[in-house]
Amino acid sequence: MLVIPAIDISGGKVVRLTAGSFRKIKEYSSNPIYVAKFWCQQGAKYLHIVDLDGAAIGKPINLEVIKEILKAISIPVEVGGGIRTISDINSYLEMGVDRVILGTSVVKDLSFLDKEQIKPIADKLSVSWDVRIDGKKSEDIAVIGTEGWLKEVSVSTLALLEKMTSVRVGYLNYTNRSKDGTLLGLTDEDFNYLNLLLDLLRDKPIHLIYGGGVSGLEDISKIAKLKNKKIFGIVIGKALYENKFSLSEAQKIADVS
Amino acid sequence: MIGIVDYGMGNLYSVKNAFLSLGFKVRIVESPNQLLKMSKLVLPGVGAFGQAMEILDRRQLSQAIKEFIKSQRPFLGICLGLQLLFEKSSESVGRNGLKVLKGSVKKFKGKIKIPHIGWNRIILKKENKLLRSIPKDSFFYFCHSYYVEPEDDDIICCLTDYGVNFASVVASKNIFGIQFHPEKSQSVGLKILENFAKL
Repeated sequence: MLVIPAIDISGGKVVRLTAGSFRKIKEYSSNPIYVAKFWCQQGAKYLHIVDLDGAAIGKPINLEVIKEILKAISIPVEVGGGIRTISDINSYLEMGVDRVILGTSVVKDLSFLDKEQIKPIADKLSVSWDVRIDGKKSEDIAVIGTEGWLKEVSVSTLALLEKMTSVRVGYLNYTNRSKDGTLLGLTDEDFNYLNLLLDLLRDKPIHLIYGGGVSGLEDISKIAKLKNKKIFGIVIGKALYENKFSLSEAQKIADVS
Repeated sequence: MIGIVDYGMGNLYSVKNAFLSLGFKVRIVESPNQLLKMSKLVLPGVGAFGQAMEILDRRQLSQAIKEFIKSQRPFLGICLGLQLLFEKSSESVGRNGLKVLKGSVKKFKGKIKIPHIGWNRIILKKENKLLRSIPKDSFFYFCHSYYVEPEDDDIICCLTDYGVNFASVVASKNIFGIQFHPEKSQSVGLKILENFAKL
């Protein structure tokens, strides 16, 4: 299981939001390239980059900055935020992005994945599943944040997973958005939903990347102890930026699984 | 000058950036003439074997690559670029590879996730200039559904375990091939590209 530092970009700067709210924005660095290189020096084996402005507006906004990051580092990177068209996806892939994360375009219309042009690049895609657990309507229907989490849509989990399986999209970025950027730590309720998702994934060729609310090494340890091979990695933002622990400490604990 | 073959099959820019970050000059080559002027050549690529060979054949790059290799200049195939060196692939029955190395390309089978995506270890079988200063058991980043099965075991430098022990690095005279992505494998990956550039 990889520990994946998050780099959220808004206005060309590295920021963290609290529970997705653009009103609760905190700037960590004005130089995303420096930050990316820093995580690489700390031993990162994967990075998670989000174009927050892109997500809110619906098209890539910080694409040039992300391109510069890719030039500066030599580890795989996943990118999300405002990627709504095939041509957006291809621009990122051509730049050398390892995996493109689709959110709004897919959860609002699952048939987006049926497009002919998706087939050859399906294994380079992930769907972001930004769930508000407290809004959960049933085991199957999840309340998903769209458009930079400014809006919501209720979607059937099974419908999404079936669709992903049929078109061979193999990654799901599950973000626990009530917790994202809060440093609140993970509760039993969080683990209940995570376990439910993992259960649904058990017989599907889909891996999960978890994000949201990790505040201490004990959260990582609890996830690692699930010993679930379906978990590709944990995305961590604020806890790393606020020095709650170091990346190498976190990775050591994650490696137990 | 190191040439990187552009035939529209991806990871070109990551490879180019990696060499640039190491301070080496590279040129993206698209035509047989440009290609044959290079002192070293890199064939990158991700995706389908059949489609890649079709493009290489159509643009007359297949012949040029073979000619380049025959001239004893250092050649590096990465990922799909490694697989294309072999005779054929189970992915595209009927379309031959470059046939520079003997053997074939097979798909992973069994209860494992395909494609093989993620960090995995190399098991050193045979020392090689490309692997100079690379610690034993280093981890590299992989992303592929097919692997090469060389006829001649002697060309296998490293194996990697993913359900089967497959060849992750091969070398034969001036020809080098690696299944993982050195351009995405932290400093050990860059070291391999540096070793190649300094051959």
